[in-house]
Amino acid sequence: MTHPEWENEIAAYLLGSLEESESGAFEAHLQECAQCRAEYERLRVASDSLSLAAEQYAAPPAIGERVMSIVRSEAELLQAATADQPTNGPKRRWRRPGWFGGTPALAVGALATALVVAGLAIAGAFSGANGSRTIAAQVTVPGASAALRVQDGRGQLIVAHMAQPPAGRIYEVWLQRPGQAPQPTTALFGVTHSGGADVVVPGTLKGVQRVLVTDEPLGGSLKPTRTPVIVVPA
Amino acid sequence: MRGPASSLSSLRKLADEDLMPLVRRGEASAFEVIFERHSGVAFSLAYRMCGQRALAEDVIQEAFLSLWRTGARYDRRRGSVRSWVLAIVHNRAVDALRSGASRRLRHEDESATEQLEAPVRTEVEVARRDEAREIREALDALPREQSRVIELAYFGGFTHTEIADMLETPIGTVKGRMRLGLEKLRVNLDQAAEVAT
Repeated sequence: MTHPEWENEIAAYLLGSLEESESGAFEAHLQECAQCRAEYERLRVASDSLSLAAEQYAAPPAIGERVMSIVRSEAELLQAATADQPTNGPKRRWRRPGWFGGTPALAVGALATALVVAGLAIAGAFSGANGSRTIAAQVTVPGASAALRVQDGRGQLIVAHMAQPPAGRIYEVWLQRPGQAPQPTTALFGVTHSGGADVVVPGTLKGVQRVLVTDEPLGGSLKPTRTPVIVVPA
Repeated sequence: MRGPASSLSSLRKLADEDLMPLVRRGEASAFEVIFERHSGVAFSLAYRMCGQRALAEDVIQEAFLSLWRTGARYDRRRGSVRSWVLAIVHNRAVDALRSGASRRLRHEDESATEQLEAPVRTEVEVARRDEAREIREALDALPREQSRVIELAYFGGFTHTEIADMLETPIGTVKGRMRLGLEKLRVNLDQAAEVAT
């Protein structure tokens, strides 16, 4: 694409009318072209103003209550998950025999990797006013934390400061019942730029001993192929 | 120790840019102040784009929760918190509009009259409404073919290809009108600002 053609993309990009692939290519060009960046900043003043052009209303009060209820609940969960997390404490040994009851070969490798776990977070559980129970997770990723909120037998996993899964992989949630191998769920997730995720654990937690998270190839696996990065004693 | 109410009132004295580091640390009260300040303008944009109250509510709920969970992405060097909030709302609304079901809902709902509350008449809200009116006037002052492509793209969530098809106009012409329109809008806004001062 010639420079004048790129320049013609600027307004379309600012108005959000480029296709996703075109936006990506334009952003890459913008990184390299000071002339386009200057023009982009000049026109951005106008495109930004459009967001304020609408007839002004107050947001319906119910939406504020809904949003703040979720935010406060997540803030509590994160506080609970990070409360007892050692910042520079000694590394702990972490033994979880029976994670992979049905797959002994994998269990050997998993235990070998899991014997020394950096930044392991161990916290307790607490009950919320609405009958929910919050259980802090054990997380192997340094600096990360997670908690499982259980209400009416259903679980919601809140993750914070978690590293992105390795390239070409995705986090997968597993449910493990006593004496059984972890069962896959349909919950596959990545994390936001800041390492956050809010994942509904599919199905009921009745009879579930642990909720696990591993990183798996995109599309998920039927059996865990890696050591869990998150373990919650459900 | 300060109680939650006094804590909130002291947070209300802080600028958005000073609240964001607290939001990043997971302080719900700091986020509440951000929500109080920008939910009105966010809802107004979402409603203008979606044309349906329920959908607009969904859009701003998703946008603010995304903001809460990704506060670390905010970079003050790239603009104000309000611009950042509105950019997230715009992106979410475009996603909603580009899904077939939302577009159908929007058309079904266009004739419905919905009761929406005007903002409380505080000084800030009056200024917000005046600013909105000035921008609408600057937009209305554009040649029709330029304001139309801008409105279809920005508020309608249509891609330039869809707009070209709709208007039976070459894509290059559509992009050219967008550029000329934004350029002229910038000039109109500058002139309006000069008159105001």
